[in-house]
Amino acid sequence: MNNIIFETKTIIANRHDLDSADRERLLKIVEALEPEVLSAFWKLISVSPESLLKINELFKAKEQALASGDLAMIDKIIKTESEFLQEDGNIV
Amino acid sequence: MRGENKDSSPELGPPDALAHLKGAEKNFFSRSFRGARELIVLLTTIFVAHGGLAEAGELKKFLPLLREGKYDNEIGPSPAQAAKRILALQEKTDSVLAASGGKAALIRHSLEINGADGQSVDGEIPSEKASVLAFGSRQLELNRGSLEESIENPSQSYWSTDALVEMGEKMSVVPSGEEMVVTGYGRNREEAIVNALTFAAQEYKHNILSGPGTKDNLLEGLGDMGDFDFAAIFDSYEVIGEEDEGNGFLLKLKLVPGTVKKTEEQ
Repeated sequence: MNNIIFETKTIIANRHDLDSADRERLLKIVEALEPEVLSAFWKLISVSPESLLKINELFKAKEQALASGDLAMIDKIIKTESEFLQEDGNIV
Repeated sequence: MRGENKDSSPELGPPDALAHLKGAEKNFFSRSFRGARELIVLLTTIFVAHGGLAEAGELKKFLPLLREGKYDNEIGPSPAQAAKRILALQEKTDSVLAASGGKAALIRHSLEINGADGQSVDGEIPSEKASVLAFGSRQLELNRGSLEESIENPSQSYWSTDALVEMGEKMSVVPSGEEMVVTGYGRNREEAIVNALTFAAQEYKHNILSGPGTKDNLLEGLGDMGDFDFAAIFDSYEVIGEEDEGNGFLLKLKLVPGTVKKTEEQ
């Protein structure tokens, strides 16, 4: 196992602006990521650790909406994402 | 799309829901691919699909675009540029070791070359209770053109550099702030220490390059740090907890921020 997974976990574990349950959940998720996904995730948060907050926010919203199967709730997320993609300013 | 999700676990909800989300996001990526924002959207869908690409379906084709390295254009670093950054880190490490009378230093580079990630580590980590200068850089360049441009000319690149220098007695380091506890993961104990120290150095409250006016008013003895985007001095670090998780180490480090009180003549 290379160092990418450990650097990724170190970044997540020290984001105290995420609550502990969210940190624990993200730590479990990264253990299961396929290598190319982990690599892309690691690069993004190593350069821009604050991206984790947006990732966590979107992830939780999607998880809740998908579990409910409520298409209206999913449409709301899609609208939020569309606005996010059109915002000015680079994250990286 | 419905058929692709027949193996979805119950937590994912009805297949229609994920298909609906994926369909919309596929349209986002087909219109344009500007980089990090799209990557955030894509990653969260993959996360919610239990970290695998299979459930993410057709979205997975967008990931390889983020892995291609190309070094003969103006976005990606050329081998010469990468070498320059490596040399800058080495030169700064050598100069701080000489100026402070320090003995131990560790240098780590991560570079993506032709799409393959590589990492090199050289040296030894500063000892516990010693004062440490931690510095380095991180950079990710993503293609911000259209999807078509990304396919024709993938120009994503990534590199990172880290140095940890044990500062000697020629530089008197004194505590300069409240101690903090940082978590570090690593394949082994040493790697966990390095990951914890380099992460802490990037934090705003420790990074002496990101404070107001500090870039033009750096501490005596450190010289020009313009080639780097983070640097921090720790008066000391101490391992206060550790756990062997079987496939890696988890450590808790107590860090005390530091500053250079006085530089002696060389």
